[in-house]
Amino acid sequence: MIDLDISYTNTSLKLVIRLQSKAMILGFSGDSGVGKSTLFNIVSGLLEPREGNIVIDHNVLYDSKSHTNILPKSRNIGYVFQDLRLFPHLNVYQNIKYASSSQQDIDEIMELLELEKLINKDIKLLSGGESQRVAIARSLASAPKILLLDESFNAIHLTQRKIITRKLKNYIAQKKITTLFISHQQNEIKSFADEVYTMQNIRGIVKMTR
Amino acid sequence: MITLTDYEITVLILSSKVAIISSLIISIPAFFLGLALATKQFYGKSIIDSVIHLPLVLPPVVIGFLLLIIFGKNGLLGSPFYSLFGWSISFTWVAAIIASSVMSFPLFVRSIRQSIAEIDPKLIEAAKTLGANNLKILKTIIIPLSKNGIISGLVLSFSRSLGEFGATITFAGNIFGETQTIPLAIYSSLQDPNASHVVMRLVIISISISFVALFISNRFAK
Repeated sequence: MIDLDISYTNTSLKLVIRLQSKAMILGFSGDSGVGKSTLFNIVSGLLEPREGNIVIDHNVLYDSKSHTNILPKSRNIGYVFQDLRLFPHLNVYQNIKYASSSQQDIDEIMELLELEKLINKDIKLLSGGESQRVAIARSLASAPKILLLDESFNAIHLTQRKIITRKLKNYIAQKKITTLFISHQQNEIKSFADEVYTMQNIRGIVKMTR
Repeated sequence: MITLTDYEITVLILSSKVAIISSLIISIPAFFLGLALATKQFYGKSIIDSVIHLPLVLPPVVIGFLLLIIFGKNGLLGSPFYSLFGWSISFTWVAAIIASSVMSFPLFVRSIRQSIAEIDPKLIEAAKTLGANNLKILKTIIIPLSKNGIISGLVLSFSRSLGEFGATITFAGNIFGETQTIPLAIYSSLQDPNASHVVMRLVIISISISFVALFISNRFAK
């Protein structure tokens, strides 16, 4: 369950987001620069909204009235950034293991994302699709309660993408991970997400419509 | 194959001892200061930055003189220290280490600061979202990614200590076996018209060590 009521303003953007949903996977679409990644940065705690509240699965992550603002490291979030941000000095296995202490979880996630053959590969030598799969694996390995996927499949080969998104959807349902998903591809977002929202800039204010 | 004389060995060992100890002593404060200057905004940052860099722009003799005012037998800290322990820091090998440390500190800080500033802050954000606390980020992201800067700073600081002259001769003197490092030995030998071969040998030793140190530093700075 997700309950967002956020106001956020910076020099180029004004976001007013109100959203309540019981769906497991929520998809977000919208024009480039409309503020989708900003929304994810707010949910993850990397940006602080001006006011409002963020409640996910009854956990209050942010509430301006009670001055609650849980730090990113304590939000139990797996965030797959659009620019991935893999650690360049660690290999594939070390990146995935970064936030996990369970070898069993790592093995399961490596199999899910078909990474077994890349285990010792240098991060700098991965293709775009391989890097995206490693980034997804690293986020899942932290056993998140909330998963943020920002354009996380677009570099994966189409055939493999279909298999992985299907397996990932099952994994999310099995582990009950509330997932927010950004994509520009309408077919993908409709097939992956349970509910789809569109972010639109209406007279200078970015709002969410379903 | 050059065989070193007892005099050269004594000077070389003392120089190495001073350079190694001073580089190791400043490494931890230099790291954390470089980290703070690269990543934090705080009140008085520009003043601290300027003070750290003073030894790079002031004549080394001035630094030696200031150290003498602070740590000399009648100095601000030296006087109570002498009253307590009956021992004066100035004109000892400890003074040579202090002089070298002060002179090489800004080079060490600059090297570390630059290498930490080059780390993409987005990687640190990613580590935070993966549950990493500040200590884990330091151990797993900042130190490994600034490793070259740390090693480069260590080598630069070692080289600067080996070449230190002005602050050392002012604060520690030029005492054979106690404070006479390679540059001071060269200076002493220059006073003797019959010791030009000693000067030349010490110069060759000095150039060789500095060349190797800079070679190592450049390799890690890449």
